[in-house]
Amino acid sequence: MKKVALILFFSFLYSSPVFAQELYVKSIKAKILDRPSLRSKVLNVLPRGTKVMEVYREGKWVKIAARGTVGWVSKYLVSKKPPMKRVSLLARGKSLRKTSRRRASAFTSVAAARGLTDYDRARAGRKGYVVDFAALDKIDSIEIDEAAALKFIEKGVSK
Amino acid sequence: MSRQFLNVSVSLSLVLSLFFSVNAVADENHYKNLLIGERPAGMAGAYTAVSDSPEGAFYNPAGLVYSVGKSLSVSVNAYNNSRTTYDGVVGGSDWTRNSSTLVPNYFGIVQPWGKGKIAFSYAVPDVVEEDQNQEFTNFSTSSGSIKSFNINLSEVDKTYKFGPSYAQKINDSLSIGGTLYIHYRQVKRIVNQYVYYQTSNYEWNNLNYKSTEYGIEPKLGVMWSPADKISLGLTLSKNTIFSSHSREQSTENKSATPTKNETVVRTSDDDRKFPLTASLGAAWFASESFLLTCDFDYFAEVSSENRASVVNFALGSEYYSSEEYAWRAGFYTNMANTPEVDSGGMNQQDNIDLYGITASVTRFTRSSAMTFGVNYASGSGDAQPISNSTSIFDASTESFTMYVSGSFSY
Amino acid sequence: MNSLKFISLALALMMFVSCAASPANVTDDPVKEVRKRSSQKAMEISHGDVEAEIQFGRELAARILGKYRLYDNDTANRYVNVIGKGLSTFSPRPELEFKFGILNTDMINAFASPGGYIFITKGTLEIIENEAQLAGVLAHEIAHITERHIVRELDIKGRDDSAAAGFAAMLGGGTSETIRSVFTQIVDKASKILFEDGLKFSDEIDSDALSVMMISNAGYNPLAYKKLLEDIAKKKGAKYKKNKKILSDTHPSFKDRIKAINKIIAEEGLNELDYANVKSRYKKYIKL
Repeated sequence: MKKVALILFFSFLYSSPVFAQELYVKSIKAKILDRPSLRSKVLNVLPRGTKVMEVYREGKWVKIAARGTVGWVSKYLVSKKPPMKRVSLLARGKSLRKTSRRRASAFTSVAAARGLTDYDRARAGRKGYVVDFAALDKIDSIEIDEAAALKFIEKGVSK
Repeated sequence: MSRQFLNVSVSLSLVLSLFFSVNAVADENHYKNLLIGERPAGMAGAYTAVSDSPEGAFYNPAGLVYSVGKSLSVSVNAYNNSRTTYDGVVGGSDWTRNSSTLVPNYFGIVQPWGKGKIAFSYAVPDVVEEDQNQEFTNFSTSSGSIKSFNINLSEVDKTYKFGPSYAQKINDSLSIGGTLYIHYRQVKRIVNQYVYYQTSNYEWNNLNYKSTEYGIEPKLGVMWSPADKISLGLTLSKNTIFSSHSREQSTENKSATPTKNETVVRTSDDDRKFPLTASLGAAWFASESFLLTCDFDYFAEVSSENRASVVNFALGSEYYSSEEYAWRAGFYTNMANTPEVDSGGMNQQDNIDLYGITASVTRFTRSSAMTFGVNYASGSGDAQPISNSTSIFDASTESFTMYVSGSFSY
Repeated sequence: MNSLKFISLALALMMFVSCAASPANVTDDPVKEVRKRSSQKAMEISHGDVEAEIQFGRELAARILGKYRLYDNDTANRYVNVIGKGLSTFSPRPELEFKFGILNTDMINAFASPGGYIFITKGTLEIIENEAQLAGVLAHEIAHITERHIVRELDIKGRDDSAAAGFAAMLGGGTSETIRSVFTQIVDKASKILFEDGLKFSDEIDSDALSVMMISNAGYNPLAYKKLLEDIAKKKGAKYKKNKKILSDTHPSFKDRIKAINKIIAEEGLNELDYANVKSRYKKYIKL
């Protein structure tokens, strides 16, 4: 009887999430809902990077299981791959030296990109189009914290 | 006249029943001598249900439809060292035959073509390069006391397969494919044996053998995904020789009749017969980093060649420790296709069953991969290395292969 | 012993059945997807690809800014960045840093450049009545980037030996005139797509759908975005004639777009959501 129970236990284990698709939360946070509809009750809110198990897919919604909750999440907020780290051409240094051959060109190009204005002004004269890297730099300099921005939106919509 | 008969008949013409019948080392008597392909070799050649790379042309062409990327090419260079030892054959001493070869043993390229994929590949599934010089001194035989017995042997025996493949999907879970190989084998062998008696009598035998054979080997493959992450593959093939020619020239001279040089030339155009081969494979793509697969290969018996049916089994696994490194390991059998050695019989073929283990590691970059791998196979069994003798000796074989390969996508 | 055999068989069968029952991968070729190994998946979208995309996106963004110029209003620009950044947290591309800018033109339009640069015109902000509508426009552009519509069209990838790697090398100091001209040609092509031909119409419809879902997820009233499209469609007069022609050349007709949006609203029951428009805060920050 013990043997039977053991086999049944392992068979349950094997037939369950071990083979199911793993997904990761990609948005800063994802609401897990009762039903595949924005009108349904919020069961839980999961932070970015949380690993969840896909149970079923229907239209724009995915039924998932995570942290004891089984519910629905918008398919746009989860993905099969864990969230990639922020890629910034400026945040290099250590990683650059490690994979120097492959990255070096991109690095030197950033340094040059910022100084392209002069060259491109000259180019504009010849080709007839204009580029404005100074304005681009101004846009780049606007630093906004993601979480703060999200809070700002939440404050606005909750009134 | 069969080729085996040629070797025996040479020995028969001599008085001394000491001469060895020289057959190829672990060659015709086994079907899985050199493992083919960068990825399959590390997985003990269990690839029938995987085959989603250029090596698929050799194992199961139906898998080619699942190769990733636009074009792919794979090239393998293998070094092999094989040794067969016959215990206590000559005056209590062992007779060892050794083969050492370095050969590019697979090349394959696959590309989309119309609705399916087309491939071209070249494989060397069997290679023997033997150089042997051995001297046995001071021992007795039924024909007299021997002061020294020298045997020099030089042999190159290569089998090539090359040809195109095509594969197409039937539906989402089923695909078929076919490979058409041209089979080419060339054997060149020189054997020199010299016996010097205590009485100062001598006997000398020189043999020069050359043979070529051409064949056509179509392979038909099917790949089926019955369930998520499971793949089943089936390949059927048969090699048919359409042209062969072998020539053996032997010369002998005995001190008893010093002025008599007996030269015998024998030729044969008999085509070797190959068995129908069926391979059934199953693979479990457990995750993007782990793959488990097994193969059963069945070779039908060929009674005209005195070959028994063979079933070989292989189990292979592949594990990606990161996106850049993959590790493979496997186990396989390479059973003898010769019948059991019966007591009372003479001139029977070696019967040695081999078991092998494999391991390899691959390093990936964006568009290329490099692999280093090793295979080791060994086994023991019975042999009758001395012609026209009912004596049965223990024999063992060891084979070690090391390979480096590269694949590129472009 | 027999019962053990039976159970083993049942176990094996259960494994197969559960495998079959587990949700199939949502791709064109599920069998091929399952066979993909770690090394192959890594090659799909890599760090190098994203770098190439950002490099390219900067060059294109600079052209957009060169053509229309940045609107000099720090408050408005910052506000648009906050809303945009907040919306981007719902996008499945956390590896990108989204930046937003207001273009100094009365034209009604918005542009997305690969790598995360998004522009909205002053003219559009004038027609927009509330934050929900602004969110709709920004979300539509964010969707173009998260779905890689432009990079896919131009096949921009960070391969070692590809043109994209050549971009980086060339941007870094110009290795040869030929590489530079190849890069320039590709940026020219992208500019043409943005300003003249437009992306595939299906991409536009998809972006509208994603926008509606994204702003709903954020808590905004999705019907507000639909109203904005209806308002723009209704605009008459010489002032808007040229503008509307550009819009209709580069996008599907407003009629088709609104029809597609209605379909999603019906499918997801978005009609019954009582979500916010956020009007007064918009009026507070956008004073043109």
